[in-house]
Amino acid sequence: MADFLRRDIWALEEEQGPWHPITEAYALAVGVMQGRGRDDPTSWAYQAAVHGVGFGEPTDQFVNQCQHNTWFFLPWHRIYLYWFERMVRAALTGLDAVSDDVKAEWALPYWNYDRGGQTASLPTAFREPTLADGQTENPLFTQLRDRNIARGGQLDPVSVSADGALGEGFFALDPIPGGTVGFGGAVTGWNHFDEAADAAPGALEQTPHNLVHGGVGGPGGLMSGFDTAPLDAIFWLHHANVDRLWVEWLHQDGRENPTESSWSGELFDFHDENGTPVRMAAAEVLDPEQIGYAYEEAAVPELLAAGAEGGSAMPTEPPPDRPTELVGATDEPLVLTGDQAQVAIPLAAPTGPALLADTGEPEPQRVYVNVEGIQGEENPGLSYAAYVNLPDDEDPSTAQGYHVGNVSFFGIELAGDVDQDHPGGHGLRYAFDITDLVNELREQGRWDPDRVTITFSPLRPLPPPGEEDAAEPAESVPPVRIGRVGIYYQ
Amino acid sequence: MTALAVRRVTWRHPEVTAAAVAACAWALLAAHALHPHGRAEPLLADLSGWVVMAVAMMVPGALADVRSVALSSMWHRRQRTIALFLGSYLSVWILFGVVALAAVRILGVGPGILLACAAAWELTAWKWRAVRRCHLIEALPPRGARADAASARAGLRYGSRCVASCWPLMLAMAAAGHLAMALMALLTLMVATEKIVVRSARLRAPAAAVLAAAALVAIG
Repeated sequence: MADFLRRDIWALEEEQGPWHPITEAYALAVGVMQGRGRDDPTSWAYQAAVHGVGFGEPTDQFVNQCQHNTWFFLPWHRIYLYWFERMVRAALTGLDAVSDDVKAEWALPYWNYDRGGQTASLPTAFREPTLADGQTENPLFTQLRDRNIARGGQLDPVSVSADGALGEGFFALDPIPGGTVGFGGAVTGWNHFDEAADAAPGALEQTPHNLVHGGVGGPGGLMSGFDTAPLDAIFWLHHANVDRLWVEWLHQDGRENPTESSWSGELFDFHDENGTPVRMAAAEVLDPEQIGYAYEEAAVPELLAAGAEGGSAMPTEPPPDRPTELVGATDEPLVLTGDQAQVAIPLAAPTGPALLADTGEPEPQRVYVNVEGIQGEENPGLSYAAYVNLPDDEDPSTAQGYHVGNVSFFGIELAGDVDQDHPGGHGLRYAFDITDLVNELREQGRWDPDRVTITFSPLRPLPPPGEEDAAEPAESVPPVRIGRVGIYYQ
Repeated sequence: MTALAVRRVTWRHPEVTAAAVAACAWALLAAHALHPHGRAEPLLADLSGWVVMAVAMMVPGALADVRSVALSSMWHRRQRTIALFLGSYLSVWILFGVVALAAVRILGVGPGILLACAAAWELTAWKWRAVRRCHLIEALPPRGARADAASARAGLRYGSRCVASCWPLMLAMAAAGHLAMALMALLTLMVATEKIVVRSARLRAPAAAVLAAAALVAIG
């Protein structure tokens, strides 16, 4: 039995309104941490710096350490949240306004935005400029968020769905050009952002993680920036949900964590609630109960448990043991500026391993879409859903059968940054396994082996029901440049 | 090793051809160092030696990036991409060599002073920005003349960034000559490490110390 139970923030709000004692205690503790100086490891500013710092800020082995685009993404953030949660609990001890029961039992809530309805909107306590008394400044509030989200609008359902990630069969796969890397991220060494040549995000990091960052932050918002995201108090609840989804994924048959010591033994530096340095490895946090907490809900989603797919491939076998082969790609970079865009890619017959002449297999076992070399000055705060061979008369929002994944831009400001030691040489990249869709189209006689189209359709937070869209006008959306869209066979 | 095993290695590591070329360059230089023969025209001999030295020193550190551009090419174009990328990359270093060899002759500067300059260069932010820029390689078009031109352009950019990063080291080699095998091995190791190791800017102080020590030895 775990000592602490992390609860759904929307369930708390449904029980006692926006200012449930757990939520209010969090706000007060954040206020305490915000009042501490940057040099204090338990301060709000320092804890944000642990994730990432801007150019010129001091660094050491504790700050600028977050792990992204790697199989360390999930364990590193679990450890990060664990020590942060202890700091919040410690900050509560000196607060008279918080009851002893709450102090004793407080655990970080999570934001499950995928329960439907209003749960895809920002919890009310994070949108109020003042606390329940109507006078005291609310530490959970910031103006630096997407305009629709700030007013109670909802994230697009495609942005928050974890079905595709939960359908992944493997935690991590060795990176291969153009291929996918599993649920948790590419097998790499220590990788803050893009140091490893093969760095690539796992399915959960892609969606919903990255899309929620951009959707909540919007253009220029705290959550949209790699180095500013933890300054928004909702960051921690978002990551608690990502952590919960890891638990949920493991509850499914056949899913397991990596067993390699290069994953479980990698040590990361943090501070405890007293500001004392501590080191921790993935092996110590494989199960939340190892470190004393559990989630209110971490059940296998019914649809997935029943075998239905969330629109993405559910590999039950590992990819074949041979390299991928590029069979077609765009000639020119594609610039996305907030509107729908489509590229047509001529395909060539495979001439390498995917030809499979010596194995007798009639078709490639895997087909991937690879979106690479993604660069831009800043996160535009919107993402794009990618569709394969979307018919001209289909509306993307109702054509989920053609949806293969999402392209988002969390961290894009670092993709060409040469001032810090995390060169994003190849820019951001995303790969989607489209094998099932291709097989389906092939069976229906609708797969053209000589040509494929990829459609990118923007995903923006929706305005509150009955209100006008307050999104940035299209002309002010920061452009992003996709270096190449390619198709790989394996 | 069976043919199948060889095929599996070349499938995954198309850059083995580039590695083989670098190995040949090392063998040629080693043979020349062990059995020096008459030099008809010093500058020409230096220049041909420089070309071989540039291959030996600069290809090893580029192998990871060579692999990356090859694997993201159409299968039948992999070796063509490597040839175009490496050819234009090395042409930048050859051009640099022409200037460097002439400069050290005219100025009469020895390798010791230049190694000391290289040590100081390691401590600058410019050096490490240039190292990071080396990894900024754009995705290539898939086929035809566009792919050829883009591969060559990528090699030129890669080469110019590599020169921006390593020019003091190679200026010292221009002064030391292509038969200074020990120094060449040391600097090759440094160049490759700086390019390949994650967060290599952490190595700035040790790298500067090693170069300073080498400078002292050279000044003698």
